[in-house]
Amino acid sequence: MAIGEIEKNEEEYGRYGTGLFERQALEATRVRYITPENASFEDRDGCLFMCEKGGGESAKEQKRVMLHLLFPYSSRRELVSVLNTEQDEIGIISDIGIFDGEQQKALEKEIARKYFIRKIVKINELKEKNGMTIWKVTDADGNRPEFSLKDTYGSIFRVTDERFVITDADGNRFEIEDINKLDAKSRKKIELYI
Amino acid sequence: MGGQTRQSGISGRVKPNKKNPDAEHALKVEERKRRLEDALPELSGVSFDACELFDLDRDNRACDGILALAGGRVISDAVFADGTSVREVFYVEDVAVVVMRRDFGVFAGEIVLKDGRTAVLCHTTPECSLRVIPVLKMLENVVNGTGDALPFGAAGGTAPGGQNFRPRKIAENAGKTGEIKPGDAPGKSVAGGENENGKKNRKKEEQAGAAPQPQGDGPRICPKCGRPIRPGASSCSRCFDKKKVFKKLIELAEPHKTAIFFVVFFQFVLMGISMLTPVINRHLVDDYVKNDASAGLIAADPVKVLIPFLALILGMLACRIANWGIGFVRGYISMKVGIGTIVDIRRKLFAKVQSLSVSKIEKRTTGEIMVTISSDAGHIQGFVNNWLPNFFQQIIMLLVISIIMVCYDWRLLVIFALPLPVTAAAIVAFHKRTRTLMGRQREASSETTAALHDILSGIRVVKAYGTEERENKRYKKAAGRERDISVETEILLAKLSPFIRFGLTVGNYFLLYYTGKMILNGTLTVGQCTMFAAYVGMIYEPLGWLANFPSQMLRVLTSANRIFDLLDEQAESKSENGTVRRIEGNIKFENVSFGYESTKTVLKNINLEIKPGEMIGLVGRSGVGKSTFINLVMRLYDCDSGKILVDGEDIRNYDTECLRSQLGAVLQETVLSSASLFDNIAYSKPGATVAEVIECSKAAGVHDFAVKLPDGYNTKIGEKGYTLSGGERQRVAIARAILRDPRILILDEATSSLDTEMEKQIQDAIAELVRDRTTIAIAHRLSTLRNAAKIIVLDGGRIVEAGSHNELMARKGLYYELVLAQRGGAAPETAKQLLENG
Repeated sequence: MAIGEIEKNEEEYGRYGTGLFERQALEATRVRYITPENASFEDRDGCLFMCEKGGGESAKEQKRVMLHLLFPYSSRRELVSVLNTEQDEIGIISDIGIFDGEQQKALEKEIARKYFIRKIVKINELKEKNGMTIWKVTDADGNRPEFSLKDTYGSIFRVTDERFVITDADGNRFEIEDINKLDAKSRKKIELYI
Repeated sequence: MGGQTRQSGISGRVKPNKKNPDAEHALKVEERKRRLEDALPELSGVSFDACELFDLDRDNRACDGILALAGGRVISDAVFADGTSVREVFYVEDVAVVVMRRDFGVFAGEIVLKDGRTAVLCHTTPECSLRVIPVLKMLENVVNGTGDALPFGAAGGTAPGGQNFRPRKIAENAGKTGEIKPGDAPGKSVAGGENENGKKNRKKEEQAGAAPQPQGDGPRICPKCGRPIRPGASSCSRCFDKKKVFKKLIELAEPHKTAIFFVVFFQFVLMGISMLTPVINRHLVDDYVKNDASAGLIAADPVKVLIPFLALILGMLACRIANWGIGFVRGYISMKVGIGTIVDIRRKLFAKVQSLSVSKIEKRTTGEIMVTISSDAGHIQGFVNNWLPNFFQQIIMLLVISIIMVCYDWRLLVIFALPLPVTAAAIVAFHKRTRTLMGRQREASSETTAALHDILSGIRVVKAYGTEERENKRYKKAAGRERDISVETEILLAKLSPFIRFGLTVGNYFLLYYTGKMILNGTLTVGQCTMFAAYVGMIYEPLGWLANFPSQMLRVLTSANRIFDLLDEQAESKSENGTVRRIEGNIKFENVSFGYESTKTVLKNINLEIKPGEMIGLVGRSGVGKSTFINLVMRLYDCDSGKILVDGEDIRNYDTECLRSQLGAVLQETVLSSASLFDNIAYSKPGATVAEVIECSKAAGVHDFAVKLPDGYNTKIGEKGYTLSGGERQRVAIARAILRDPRILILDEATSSLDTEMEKQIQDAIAELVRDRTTIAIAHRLSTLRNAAKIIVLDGGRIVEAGSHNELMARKGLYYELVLAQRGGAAPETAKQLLENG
């Protein structure tokens, strides 16, 4: 069944009327899953395109789509919402692993691009200035990025007891996978804010 | 007296005696007593244990009343101006509890009988109440077994007919005076009005050792001191049973007894060390400082003298080190026990609050519960942490030092202790005042916390109405009161403390004089004098501690009383085996009446049956009892009379957990916790899968805004998180209800915060949701009820109309008026149009 096509179950609709609005409303309350059977993905010039299978000619048209993780902190491969350029949801991919090699890579690339996150392994310096906190850290790749937080307490999100995600003033994200694995000096610096 | 003319009718016939009102009153009582004896021949010859006049009947009509305790009976006799009278006689042994309360100045004395019935003994004006309270207190003492028993069957007290004559109630001129029938008794659960379940519950409470709770919801008066009893408290904060509370407190410390034992043990070791130090000092002074012989010995054989000297010095050092080391270990264990206790108490209190019914929680303010969980629990920590171990230490220390002093010279102790009785008497004299002030201080502190909580929880309203200044004043007033009482307490303590300190230490001067004299006489060495001085210095610690003990203990016991009041509350019924019975969804109201207050009935005699899978709509003006109706279905409250049957079984017989696990509700106000969006939706079904949550979210329209949030379902909402709009919150509530998959669904203005477009979309989700479930929906927007099989119209707490939309419109009754009002007065064209337009 093509995505967006309303399932014509007259028996079901009969209860609430058969008007177009009712059908659309009922359709809007259903989750649509995107599978290799009803769609395919392609990475073209750094952009992700989706092509619906089945349905009419219009359905075969390739659409520029964006991915949005429904649970970005819990899973980066499962429950991925596929949005059109208007930010309306087309459907949900339950697991990007169900798509074949190339398509999977395209999806992974898109997710990695959107949800790029540095993993902090050491906090070199943390100081307060004009109500902001300036962080100098070392990430897993050995880089030493520097960022600032406007609302320090509000910008540190505790995912689990050990895992933290920090969103800086520019919207960049940094992750501390396990706070207990940080060295004592780093832990002492961040302790005040968590 | 017997020669005086007997008078009858309303009082006022006794010659006024303005100079001695008490004598005048006594005459009136005697007169009234004689009339009562005339009316009840079985009382002739029976001595009256107590009797007093009252001036109002249960309907607050003026009367000439007498309340008497005589011959094992309690008699209430009221004579009215028209000559009619109402008299009630009860056997004291039948009385379960005596209730005293005030309602807008009118004092009421009531009794609850052992069979569950209640009766009003008297009503009085405030002036008159002061005289009646002692009689009721006496009755209560007898009932509670804390006073002398009334002479049952004393001299002629046996009723005529012996055992066959046991008048539960005698009403003279019943026909014309309006006899007080059992069903007329006041309070919610009047005799005849109380259902079997209520009686069962009361019996259970009695078996559990709890005093039967008085009926009604007016303020209660402490029978001992006449002060009002705090709502939710089982007894007066001043007159509670301190021994009982102390026993419970000790039970509370029971799990930590091993640790407490070690703390006490280390205390003793520390005490031993500290008592050893003066002995070493004595040897140092006597053998090395003041001893002329030692100087010669040092010159002759310095090693022989220095080695013991160094041993003493090392001994002192060892004492210091041991003191520090053991003190640290003791402090560590003590702190661990204290923190463990406070966490235990707080956990228990929180669990108890969770398990209580809404009506029981509502008896206390939120601030009060918070103070109990935070401050009161903190006082208990102090008790377990410090007071309990110190108690043993201080007592033993006092005894040991006293014994040491007696062993050396008993006169030393006598001289030292000479002024102590005077000091103790002063402490006792001031104790009453400090106790009252500390009680007031605690109450003021609770009020300040409660005020703060009220203001903060309603901060949006405060901001919206710009009443910050008013709230500032309110808080300032509450805090100011606390400050004033604290200052008063501190001033009193500051006045008292120097006196006590002087009283405790004045013996020291006598002792110095005496020991000085002994040194001069050569009967005491300087070292011994130093040692005694050290011991005397040490004895002040337990004495000072004991001087503070009553007030500090009272503080702890008062806090403990509040904690136990909460912990001893009866939780909602739970199934013993934990099985969950599936509910089909048939709900039947049989003559159900309910009111949040006994005097204001919200729902009156409701009879209604909702079949399984049926959807009914509740319609009516604001305040007619729609939300109360669903509160009863959710069993947040129990009905006062009649019963609610779920699948033919009384709702009160259901395990509340079982019942509520099959209930789903979308209420007017959606409460979200400070957690992720996913957690907030999954709240209704712990363990729900991600797919389930997403499907329900999609159906309820949550998914649409969830995909626009950067963190999706991981987005933290609530305090310090993403703030949802009213419509979004309502969608979350609907998603929760869908996820719960309940057998009985309650929709209380479920879509009131949604815009028309979203509502139409959600309506389909709701239509799907209500299918095959018993649904009770409340809506002012009538379009929400388009799928309702039956619409029930409530007015004045009663069902005034019931039927389908078309039937109700055709009837042109209240529903028709409501529909017209919603359409702005325009007459509806068709029923369908009405529904669509809402």
